[in-house]
Amino acid sequence: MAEILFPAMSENDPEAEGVVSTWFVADGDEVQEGDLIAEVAVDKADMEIVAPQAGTISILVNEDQAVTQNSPIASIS
Amino acid sequence: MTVSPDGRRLLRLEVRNAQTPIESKPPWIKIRAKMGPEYQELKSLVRREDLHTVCEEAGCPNIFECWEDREATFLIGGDHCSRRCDFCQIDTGKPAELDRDEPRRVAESVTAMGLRYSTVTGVARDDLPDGGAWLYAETVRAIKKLNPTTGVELLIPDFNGDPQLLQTVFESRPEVLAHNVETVPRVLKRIRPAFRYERSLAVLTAARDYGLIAKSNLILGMGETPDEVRIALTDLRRAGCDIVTITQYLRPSVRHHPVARWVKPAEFVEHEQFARQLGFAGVLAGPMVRSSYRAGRLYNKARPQT
Repeated sequence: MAEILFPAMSENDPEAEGVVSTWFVADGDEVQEGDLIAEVAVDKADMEIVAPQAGTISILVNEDQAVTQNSPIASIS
Repeated sequence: MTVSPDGRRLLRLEVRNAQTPIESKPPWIKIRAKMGPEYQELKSLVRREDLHTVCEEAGCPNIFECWEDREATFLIGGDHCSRRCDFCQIDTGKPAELDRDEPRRVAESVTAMGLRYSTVTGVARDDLPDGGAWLYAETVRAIKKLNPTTGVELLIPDFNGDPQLLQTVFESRPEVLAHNVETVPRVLKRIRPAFRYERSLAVLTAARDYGLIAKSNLILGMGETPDEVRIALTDLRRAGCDIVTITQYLRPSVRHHPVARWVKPAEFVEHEQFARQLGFAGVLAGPMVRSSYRAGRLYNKARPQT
């Protein structure tokens, strides 16, 4: 199983938050490695998140819900 | 909002900045975050050696791309800067004690990473009698001693324009000596109050006169006009600057200066062409370009051909 973490944003502020602005996959979808699965927004830029491996996705956070950097937003098994 | 995340009371300026919410971004301010194996390995190296990189301290969105290609920019002198610029994510405050072992660790990390070209920058150290000149110079020397074929690009503060301190730094002979003016003179007074436009130009001229390749950076989107950008590029070229990067301001947090405008990709192309016509040997312009982005490749375009 692989956890998908919210990207790191700030060394000085471990509690730095961002949001998942769009999920491009639904809970339980099958994904291939490299598939675009989400777009997240941090202060400096918008970032596209791709699947690190193939498998079945479990979504852990909702769109527009504040997420702390480095915390899991989904897992793939 | 009256306190920062680390519990410090906000400056009046930060309170005013925070009244403007984080802007939504145009579609070209987007990157692909792929946390690949090289990225992960570099992350653990940086932790293990207790190093700082500007990639992390400034929350650079290109970190996944650069680190996957094993390109990183070290930040020496600690993670607290003695000056505050309204666009910069690096914390301002009293810096930690001078770490005289840092040059060795940076040099060994360059070896461990197998870098052919390394970029080093640092915080301003106005708390030290030499402004950190020894630390900057020693880091270049340490890298070169351990990695004789590795090029070094050194991005420095202005050392208050002190000729002797600049000499100390220049003697370490980095392949590229960078000092960023960052913005046009009218905006600089407000946004980078501890710096002076003319003094920064003089630092570049001094580097050129010493025989080094001089490099600078302009951040757009902080209130300047396209005409002022062209004037600043002309000033830089006249001052002896050989390489220039032109970038979009990305606001680090709500406490920092609001984004005045999103410069369209086409305007970056125009500035790039204008800069080439002025005779810059290396020019890189674009919304996601940062001043150390692809630094090795840019240096190769500007280096003396052998």
